[in-house]
Amino acid sequence: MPTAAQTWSAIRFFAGMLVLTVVFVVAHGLTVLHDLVGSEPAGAGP
Amino acid sequence: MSAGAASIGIAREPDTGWADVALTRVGRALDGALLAGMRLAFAEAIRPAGYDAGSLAASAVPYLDEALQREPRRFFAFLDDEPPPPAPRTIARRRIDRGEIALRELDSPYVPWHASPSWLACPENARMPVQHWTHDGGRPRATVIALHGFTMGQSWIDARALMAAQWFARGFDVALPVLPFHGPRAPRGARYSGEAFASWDVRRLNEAVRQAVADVDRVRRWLVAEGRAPVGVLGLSLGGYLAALLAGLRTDLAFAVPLAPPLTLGWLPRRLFGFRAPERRRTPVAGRLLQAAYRVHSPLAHPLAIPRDRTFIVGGLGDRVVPPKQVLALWRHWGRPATHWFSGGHTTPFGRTRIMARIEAHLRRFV
Repeated sequence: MPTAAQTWSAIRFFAGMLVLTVVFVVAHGLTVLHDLVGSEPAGAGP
Repeated sequence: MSAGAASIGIAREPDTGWADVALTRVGRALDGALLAGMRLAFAEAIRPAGYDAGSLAASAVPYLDEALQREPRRFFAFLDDEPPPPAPRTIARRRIDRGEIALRELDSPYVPWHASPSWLACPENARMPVQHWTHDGGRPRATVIALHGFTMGQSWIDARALMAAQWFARGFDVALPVLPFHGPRAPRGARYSGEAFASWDVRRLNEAVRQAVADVDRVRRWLVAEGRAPVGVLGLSLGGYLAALLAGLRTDLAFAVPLAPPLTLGWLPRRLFGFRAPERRRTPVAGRLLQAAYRVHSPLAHPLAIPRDRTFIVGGLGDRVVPPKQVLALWRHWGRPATHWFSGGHTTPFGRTRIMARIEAHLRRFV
């Protein structure tokens, strides 16, 4: 049976991971969006 | 001059305007949320169970050796050996336009510098998956070894974050190795990628960094033996730290491009895993002790081993995980090589096409 401290630690861990996931998704989305509206072509090749 | 650039004394980028300032503020805000999430998730989780402060402080002792501190290159003496190049196994491959992506696997027969029970010897970490993007045809291509950051290590995410497809489209082959204890190399039961890499136990982190250097050098030797030279490294965050370190250890790297590289890992745990104000003085291991023990693998402890013009440093004006002053420290240490400062933060490198174009224009002078 997990103690209250262990339960609280697990809740914090999963809440933190949820925040990290949301941040990464939003950040990557914004970065890609900025790439798409940017004026320079991606991967033009040598 | 943008607010971020002005505050750290960086010359104005030619097209820095209100949009760049706004993007940098967005990046700073997202980095703030990232740090809050990391503190929430890891502040307790990273505290090792069953350790006391005394034993953690003692874990630094092997790396405070006077001879090692005087000559940190000794920590990586294995790089002076010239064993036969490793032979990778090909696990899977798929066709893409003008080439293929293969999943290869190399052994990682790592022997710790300081053997101790802290070292997690696990079968998952004894092998190193490498996603390998190669072009069709016989013409030798320059190869970028692209190194991911802390908690990454899933090839499909790494390839996106490190823009493997774009490097490939620009004519480079790309190798994406998984760093120790990350992704599929994490030991059974790990709650997140890289959990066994970062630890308050100095032996664990120092040996993981040393293994990462050994592994990346094995990838380099394999690629060179296959005739895929010139081979250089590019890394993001933790990968940038390793790229900068390798540029101080190997004279035969074709190029080194650290992106948002931290310069001192001793400073990072407080930043990443954080402690609320009353706890700041109660970190499991004193900051000064960490700094001294981590010095053996700090890029600042190793003079640049390749010509300065074969390096290119990239930093984020709004980076709150690796603030610009850390990037500037490397820039000064390397004698002020070419740099690019992007708008945005650690998680938001806005203008990636521009960043890539600047790096490519620099690399094309010698690859």
